[in-house]
Amino acid sequence: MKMNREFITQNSLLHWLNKIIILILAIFLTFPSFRSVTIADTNDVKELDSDLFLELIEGIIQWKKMTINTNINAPLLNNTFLENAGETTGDWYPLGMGRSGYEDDYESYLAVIREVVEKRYKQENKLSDSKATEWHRISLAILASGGDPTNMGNDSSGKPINLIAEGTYNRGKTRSLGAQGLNGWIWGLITLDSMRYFVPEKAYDTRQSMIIEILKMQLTDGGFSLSKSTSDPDMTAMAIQALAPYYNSEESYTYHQKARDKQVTKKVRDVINEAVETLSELQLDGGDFESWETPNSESTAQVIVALTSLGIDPLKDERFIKNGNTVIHGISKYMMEDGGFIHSESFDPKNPSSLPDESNTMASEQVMYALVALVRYYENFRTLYDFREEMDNDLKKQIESIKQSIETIPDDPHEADIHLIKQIFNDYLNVPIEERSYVFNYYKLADAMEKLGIENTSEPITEHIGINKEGKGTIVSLFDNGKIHASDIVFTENDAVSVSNLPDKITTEYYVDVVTYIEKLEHASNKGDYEQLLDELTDKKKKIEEIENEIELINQAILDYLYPFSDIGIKDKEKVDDIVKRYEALSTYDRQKIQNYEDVEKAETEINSLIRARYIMIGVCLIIIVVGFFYIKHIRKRRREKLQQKMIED
Amino acid sequence: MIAFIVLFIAIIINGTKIQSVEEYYLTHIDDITEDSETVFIQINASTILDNWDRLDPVLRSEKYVPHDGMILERTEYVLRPNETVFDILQRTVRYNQIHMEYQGANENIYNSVYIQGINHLYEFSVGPSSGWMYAVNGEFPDYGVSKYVLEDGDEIELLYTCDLGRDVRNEFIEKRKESN
Repeated sequence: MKMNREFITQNSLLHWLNKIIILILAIFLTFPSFRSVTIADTNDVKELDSDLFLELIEGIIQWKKMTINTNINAPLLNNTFLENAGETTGDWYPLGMGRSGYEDDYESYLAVIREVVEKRYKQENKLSDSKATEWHRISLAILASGGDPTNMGNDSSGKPINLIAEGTYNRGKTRSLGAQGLNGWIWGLITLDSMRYFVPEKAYDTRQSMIIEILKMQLTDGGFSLSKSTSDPDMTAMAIQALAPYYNSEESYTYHQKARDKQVTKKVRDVINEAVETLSELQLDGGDFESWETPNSESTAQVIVALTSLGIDPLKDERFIKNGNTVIHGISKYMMEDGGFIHSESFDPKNPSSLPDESNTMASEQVMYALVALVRYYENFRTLYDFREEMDNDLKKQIESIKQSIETIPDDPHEADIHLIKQIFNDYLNVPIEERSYVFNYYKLADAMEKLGIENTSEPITEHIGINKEGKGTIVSLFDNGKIHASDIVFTENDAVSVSNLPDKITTEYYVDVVTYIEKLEHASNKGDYEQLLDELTDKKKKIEEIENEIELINQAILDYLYPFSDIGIKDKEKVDDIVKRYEALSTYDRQKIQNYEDVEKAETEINSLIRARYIMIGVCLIIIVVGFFYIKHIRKRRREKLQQKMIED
Repeated sequence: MIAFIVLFIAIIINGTKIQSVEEYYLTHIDDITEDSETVFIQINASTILDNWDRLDPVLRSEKYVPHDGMILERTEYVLRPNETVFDILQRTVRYNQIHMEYQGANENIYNSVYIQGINHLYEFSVGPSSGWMYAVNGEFPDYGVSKYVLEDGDEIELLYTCDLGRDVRNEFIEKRKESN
């Protein structure tokens, strides 16, 4: 079986490599004259691209399945994987996968993440004290899985949890979005725009305030970075991803740019143009990018997402072809035979995790969603982080036709072109404001208008883009021509059998199963047929929560009673015995969740030794007393005998 | 006279435990002897003293930041075979009842345990560039605490930085400037 799987992987790898070579040739051959290729020609290349990219995406998902010992044909979002739902390692795969529409068990992810969110909301800091990005990552993964982050269960007071409000425009009421730096603003804005959410009047932050916070951090070289004074491709790319919906906005912002310590007035478009220029300069000869002096796949992946968010074709734009190498050449360097991707080719002997020959989970997930962004771009779907329902064909055609007319505007426009330009601008204004960012070449129109002194009357995008207050993300299959993932849930006979197969003595091992089945039953159209099962499951869930609570209490008891170890004495026997008893009442699986149980064993042994020593001591004392008693008796007797003898002799 | 003898013997025996070899090994695993391999660890948040105004107001107390910034003075611990910085750190905070919160290795992208907070001081508690770093023998590894396997005599420092490491690792920044 294992042999077989490897064989298949090897085979499809050859297939991929072949395709990559064909693709490289295709780009190479068409590149010098791509401006003059007919639509038919580009369509050929386009189809090849998307199919290839989809195979690579599937390869990464299958690699990930292998790493958690999951069958290639079974869903990735299973028990093992979902143990990490709500953590970095558990949320990005659903995001990338969901945006590709790959068939998987998204309902399970939603069931578990809701539980995780509700549970974490019971803590003082909810999802995190300082990291707003916890809200952002989870919200995006929920949308990608077809859920609604504005309604994720209830908090402890019974109020519905709105991750969007609390993670973006109202986050500042608890702690600034910027508490963790630039990242918080960037991901806050990406999340706010994920469904083009409406910002209420009393909100703490607005789109404008978030945009300005990002603009302020632009470095003197045009890009962005978390900490350094020179640009980092990842942060520059992410800033572009966040600002991209405002590229066509004519609003100017006046703000204090920190790196220059100067007041500047700029449009978002100016800043993005500078950042794109910086990215172009940072690209390496191999087509990839480096961060902290290490060429790597993740930086390259982020640039791909940034370029597609602006509608820049990463395979054709001259600014992103170095030495004949595009970002796709760049990223293919990091692909492994098993379908996964490595972080970097260089090996740091001190760092055992920098394996240049072993696929890496973060590299693979970022490459996956970058490829998803590429396919979305080529196949005319929304950008990676725009989770709204796809546009209908009429709107797509309308936008496509405006883009084509903009291309007919001459580079050096004259008075004679004014009529044409005004006409095109009029068509542009007919596009709904919240969709105008998809007229990717609008800047050419705006430039021509400025040159000819035509007044630009387009409304500020920030004020009109927020349209949705709630709603689920849709899962659209890129593999299957935009087919929408069916969300009507039926609880099958098979599910019922699986539920009845759950052990009576439940353990935390079955938590994911239990909450998934509950979620499924609650939303199933045939819910009524299985009411008894729902009761059973709810009961099991309660038991699991009790066990979890007990585990927490035991862990706390160990911390409270066992240290410092040198103070352990017979007086602690009762407490230690109690811990041991409670530990032994747990199932083998649950016992693994008790931390440092060896210390309990150590304490138990110590106490037992002390008790034994005390018994021995008492025993020895008794023996001494008894022996002493008889010895004294013996001596007295002898003395008496001697005395008697003496008296007799006398 | 007898009473005296009994008392004397009792005192001697009371200090002696009668244990099997395994029991002895288990209860004395952390005792430092001449033959034991040991490492040193300290937990230091003194950079916060210079950035007091940026510290989250609820943490402005000696309970969280001791007057000299030392949460744990340099302490010696027995190093068991193949133990990592995380193993020692975890034992240290348990034995000294210091609060610590971390992310398990499978919960984050670094594939290693990630220390979020010690003694209630968390990453970003002193602004966006703050958090915990670690050094072994003065060097700052760029991989996680549960990946670093220790050797006899290693000096571990858990350091709170308020400026992405610049305030605790000066030589590093100079090197970067040269290369920029």
